[in-house]
Amino acid sequence: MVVQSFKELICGLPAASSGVHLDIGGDLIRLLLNSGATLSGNVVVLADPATRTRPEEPCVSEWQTENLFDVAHLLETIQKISSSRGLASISILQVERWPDIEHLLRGLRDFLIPGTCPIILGTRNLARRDVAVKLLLGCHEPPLEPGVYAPRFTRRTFDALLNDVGLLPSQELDILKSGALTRDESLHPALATNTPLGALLASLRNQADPHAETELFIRTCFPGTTSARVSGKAGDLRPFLSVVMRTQGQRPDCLRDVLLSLAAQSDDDFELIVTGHRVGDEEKRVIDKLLAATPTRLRERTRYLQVNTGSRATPLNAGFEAARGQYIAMLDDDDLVFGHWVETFHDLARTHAGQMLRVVCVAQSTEQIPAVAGGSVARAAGTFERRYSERFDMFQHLASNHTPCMAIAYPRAIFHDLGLRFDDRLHTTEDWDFMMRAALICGVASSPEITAIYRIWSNRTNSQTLHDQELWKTNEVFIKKRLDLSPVLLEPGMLGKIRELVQDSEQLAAITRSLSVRVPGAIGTAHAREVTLLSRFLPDRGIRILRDTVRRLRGNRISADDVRLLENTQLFDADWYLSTYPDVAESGMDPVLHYLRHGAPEGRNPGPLFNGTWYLEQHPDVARSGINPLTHYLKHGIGEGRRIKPLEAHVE
Amino acid sequence: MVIQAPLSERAACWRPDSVLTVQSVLYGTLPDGLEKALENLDLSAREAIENGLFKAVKVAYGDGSPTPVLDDATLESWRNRFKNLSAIDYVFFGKNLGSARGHNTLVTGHHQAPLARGDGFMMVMNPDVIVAYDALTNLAIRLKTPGIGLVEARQMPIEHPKDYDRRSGDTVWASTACVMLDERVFHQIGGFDADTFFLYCDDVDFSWRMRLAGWRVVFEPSAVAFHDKRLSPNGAWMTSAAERYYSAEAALLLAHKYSRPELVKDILRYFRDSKQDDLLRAAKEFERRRAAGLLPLPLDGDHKVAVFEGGEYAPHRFRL
Repeated sequence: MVVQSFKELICGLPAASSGVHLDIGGDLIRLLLNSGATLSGNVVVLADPATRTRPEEPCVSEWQTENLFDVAHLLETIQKISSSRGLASISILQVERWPDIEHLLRGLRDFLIPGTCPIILGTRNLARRDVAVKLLLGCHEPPLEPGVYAPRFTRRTFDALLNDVGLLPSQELDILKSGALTRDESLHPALATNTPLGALLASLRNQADPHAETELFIRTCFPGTTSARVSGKAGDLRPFLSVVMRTQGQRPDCLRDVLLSLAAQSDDDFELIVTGHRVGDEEKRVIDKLLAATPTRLRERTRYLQVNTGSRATPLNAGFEAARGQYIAMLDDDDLVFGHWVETFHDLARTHAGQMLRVVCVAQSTEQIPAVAGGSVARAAGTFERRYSERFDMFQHLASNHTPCMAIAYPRAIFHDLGLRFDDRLHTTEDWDFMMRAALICGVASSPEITAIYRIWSNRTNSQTLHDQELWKTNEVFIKKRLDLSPVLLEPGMLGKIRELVQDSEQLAAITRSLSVRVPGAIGTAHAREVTLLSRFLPDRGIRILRDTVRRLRGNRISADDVRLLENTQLFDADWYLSTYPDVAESGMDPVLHYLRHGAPEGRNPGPLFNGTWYLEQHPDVARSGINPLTHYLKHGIGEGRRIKPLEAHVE
Repeated sequence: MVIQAPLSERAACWRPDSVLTVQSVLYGTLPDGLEKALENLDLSAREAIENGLFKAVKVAYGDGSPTPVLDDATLESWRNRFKNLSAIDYVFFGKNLGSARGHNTLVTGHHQAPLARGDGFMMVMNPDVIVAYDALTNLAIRLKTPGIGLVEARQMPIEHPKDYDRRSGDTVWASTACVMLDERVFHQIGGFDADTFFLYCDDVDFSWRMRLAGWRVVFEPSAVAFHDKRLSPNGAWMTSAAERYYSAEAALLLAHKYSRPELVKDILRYFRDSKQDDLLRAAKEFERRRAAGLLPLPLDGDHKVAVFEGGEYAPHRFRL
């Protein structure tokens, strides 16, 4: 039970008639005085009288000078007091004082077992923010105040100590740091929270656990049984990777496929955690059957967790919490991975310790067709499309997501030690949000190996089609705003990139200022849209869009990036384009260039699989921007979950 | 073997008391990969037997490696471990017979270890292919349809791009990375043409001869087989030197065998103009066989079955 004050904790102690309150060390009195709490009954203090805070404390019946560090003698003294006067409680409020506290506490536990006498234990927080920062910077000094000892325990290690010695807390009290920083401390850039460094350290510390400002942990304990802890270094027993797979059991054919791809991995050093989210009885049966049908060597490394509440982020948090791996990766139940997905992560980890690991994912159009035995099955509808960059670019990802969720593996410390969580409030893009917060802390190591396939379903739902555009946009704005408000680390090289962007922006602003004078008279209505685009985006909108617009206005070549994009996508069909528009074929102009320069503005379509007119009708913001509908879809629309539609004649 | 009635009619009666033999030709194959494949095949065999599709499922390996890749101890441990496989037979050929002759030998028997089989069903499979638990079941369900001679599984993660009918599954040819068929049909069409094809495209020819004999060749997407193929970092399909050479050789042989003399001329011209070593060697080998009278007799003079379209042997849904 969590209590809010020391007074409340004291009120819970047994009545004085049962004996004396035995305080070992003398710290109880100080806390009683500071909190205004009073103890009924007498207090016997075992301590050096020099630790007295006042010459006389009314509730203290006596001070006894003892060799507190002779554990055997101390236990004997306690037994004598108990026999002669009875014990209402025992308190040790600075356990860090004893080098061999475990021995002392085990002895006390064994002594207390037959009775109902509680023991109040306290310790100062080693992981308090200001303490930890000073330790980090090598400027930590031992406490100057007499009777105050250097902290040795964190919340975690204190709880572990109590568990190991068999003392179970019935009440918990965490006392926050009292008093401000000293003047020197408040001026220190690492401790003041309004400096970038101080704010960053505070942010990281606050995220890791809620005890950044806790000064003292106090527990009222009773003897109990110990629970087993893994001995030795837990890290040695961990698999390399935990794979967290969300499923709702509604796509059994896809789940079968992805389980097969995991069974076929070249590197078996992984465990699988399947999180069933809001799964009904029938779906659970389906999942159970599919998991039971996996080979033994995979089944032995598989666990199933049922999660019945929350958003899409909730099963991820549950899966990550349960993960034992050194790294944790996600996989949705309709994705596919190549045979070396785990192996590639493993190879990267060997040379990039501590960083997130990224592989390359290709996209493939896929449709769902009826299966011979009932249900449905996947049919690949297009080639592998290189939509996602080979390397992780932080600036690119700040604007939108270019990394499908299964292309990343996270070091477990991001979740388990640094406290990052998937945001339950997000129903979409929860993976992008988590990825960005993690990437800004640990950076990303990239492999050029293609090891995963993101299936884009043309006729079944996925997370992109399930949620409307409004929700995607709202989530995107929220994520960006939160990132903007966070202190972040910049990796080497990022300052130079920012400097380039600023210089480019200043140069383009100068160009557009001069163009805005010349354009209306010189170019005419054919480029009125580009002029509108330019004025909309000045002065701080996408540098690349401005560059391409300026080039077009000046009659320069179309963006090479756009040309490459269309040359490598199945959505642009050059043969179809030329046969459908014979005037283009007759002109001899390259079909990609024609479509970019003239075709799209004229309402022509790039191929039978992409209806450009429909896309602009469905997404009026794209139409207003004047961006080519196909390049918009390939660069932004996919990440934003925008739908596309083939031409009517192509639909069977 | 005497067949009393047209095979297409007899196939309408499924023979659940038959044995399914899953056969693979080995060449330098690593035992770890085989073990993983067997582990999954074992599960799939259990599912198929429990569904009443076969009486038993066995495995037959033919090893064309320079030295045996499997020893008796490994085989014995697998036989003890994989209880749903009634046998795991292994024969060391002593020389590299290639894919076509290797499979023919496994069906008809080998002089050192006769493995001649009777009236059952068979699968031709790459040795490292990992089948899903329901793959054998779904292949068999499709094969039960009268008139279907050959059923192909869907490979993952790289699905073959050739087209197939969404409803019937009909396709122009089946890749023998993972197929199921009636052994009697195998015998009826004379097995693989090992005299013409060594490696690659023996399955294209096999499929076309099956269709010339009146059988349908179908693709079954719900029968899934993981075939560990990978893409290069620039997204390209990666081919081995052997694949490039034998595919080039087969292109000429298929064009000749399926009565496309003009196409043969075009391919030869292209190969010679390319100056690429693989293509030049393939052209030279083709000319050698032609001069020696070793080319197969042309078939499909009416062009009813074979498809030669943009360098592929079937219409493709997309290009890799």
